[in-house]
Amino acid sequence: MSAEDSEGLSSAARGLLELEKHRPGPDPVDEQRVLERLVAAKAFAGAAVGGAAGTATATALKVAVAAVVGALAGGGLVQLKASGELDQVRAELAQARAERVVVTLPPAAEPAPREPIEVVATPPALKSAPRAPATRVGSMSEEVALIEQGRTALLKNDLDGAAAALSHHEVAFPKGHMAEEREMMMIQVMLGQGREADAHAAGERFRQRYPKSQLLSTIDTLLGAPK
Amino acid sequence: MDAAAELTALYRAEFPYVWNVLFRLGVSGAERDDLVQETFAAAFKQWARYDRSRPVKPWLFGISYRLVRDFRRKRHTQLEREPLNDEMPIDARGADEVVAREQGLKLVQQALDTMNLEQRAVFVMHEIDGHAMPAIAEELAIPLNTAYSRLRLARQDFNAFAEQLHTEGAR
Repeated sequence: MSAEDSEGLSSAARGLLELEKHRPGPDPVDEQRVLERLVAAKAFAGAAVGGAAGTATATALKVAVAAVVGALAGGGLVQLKASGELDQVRAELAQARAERVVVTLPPAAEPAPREPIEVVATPPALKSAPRAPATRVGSMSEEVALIEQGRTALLKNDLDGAAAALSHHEVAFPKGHMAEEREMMMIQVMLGQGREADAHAAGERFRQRYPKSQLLSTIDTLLGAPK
Repeated sequence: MDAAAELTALYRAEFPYVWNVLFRLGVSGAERDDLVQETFAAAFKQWARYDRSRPVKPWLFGISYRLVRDFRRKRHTQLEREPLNDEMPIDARGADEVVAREQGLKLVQQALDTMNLEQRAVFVMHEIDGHAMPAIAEELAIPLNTAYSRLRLARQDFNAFAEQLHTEGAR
């Protein structure tokens, strides 16, 4: 018998601990929320400097990290400020383009049915070259901005405003990296508008399109929540 | 795998663990968000120097524990816990399995709340996470004998709490 076991626990105490060992984990929304905060705090940036993105400018790297984190989180909501003060980013990106900075980000580990994300600042001549679908730095920022606009409107219960932003995103980025968030938020809009049947239909479409999405449990909660 | 991808993988794999560890150390609500964030921020900073042959969970526990300890010292106050749901009175004889499970988990938290942070950390690491005592002593930076002493005292408290429940349930 080890010293750890010499003064053990009663059976009642062990029964309680068995329950605790199987305590349910956090909601994906919790995970996403903290992830956004880490990105906003640039917690990933320092460690990333020595990685594959080592040749990027600081600004390009900020956007790149935000992009990969968002993508790996299942297309998570990256706060606008997380991508780095957009105006400043855009100005610095112009410089990055001039330097032809190319940052290739790794593919998502799971569920990852997507192409590897490329954050590319290319001269116009290269844009028409045949290649796998890519997301330019600018377009990623625009995508994030639209989703953030929709989220902010939802928080203010501005359902029309949210629907407009999300519809804009759908038109501009039909298969964007944040399509899952867009569709989840559209379900929230439908529920807010009292369109229960539409919301459930949208939920079913989401399940078929993204069967491994981390947002599924959130959508189930939304659709199953009592009115 | 580059550094950003490694850190993202670390976050994705260990977020649930850190989330529950902080709750077990008595942190909930907005403060849990803060301390989970700080735990990973600190881990990311140390990641380049981290010995990958060591198990990651005790390391993350150690970071979380020190953050909670420092936070309490700064505030000179106990961390707030989300209030228990008054609509669900504690009754170990509840017929519904889900309700009983919920109640059981609340009882565990109540029992942990009776311990001081130092004993609680050792108890959680050993009795719930199953880490070996030498590893716990190392991560918490305490002598092994101190770790055993804390575990013994924590077990006494936990046993007393469980015994009291048992006695009350038999009445």
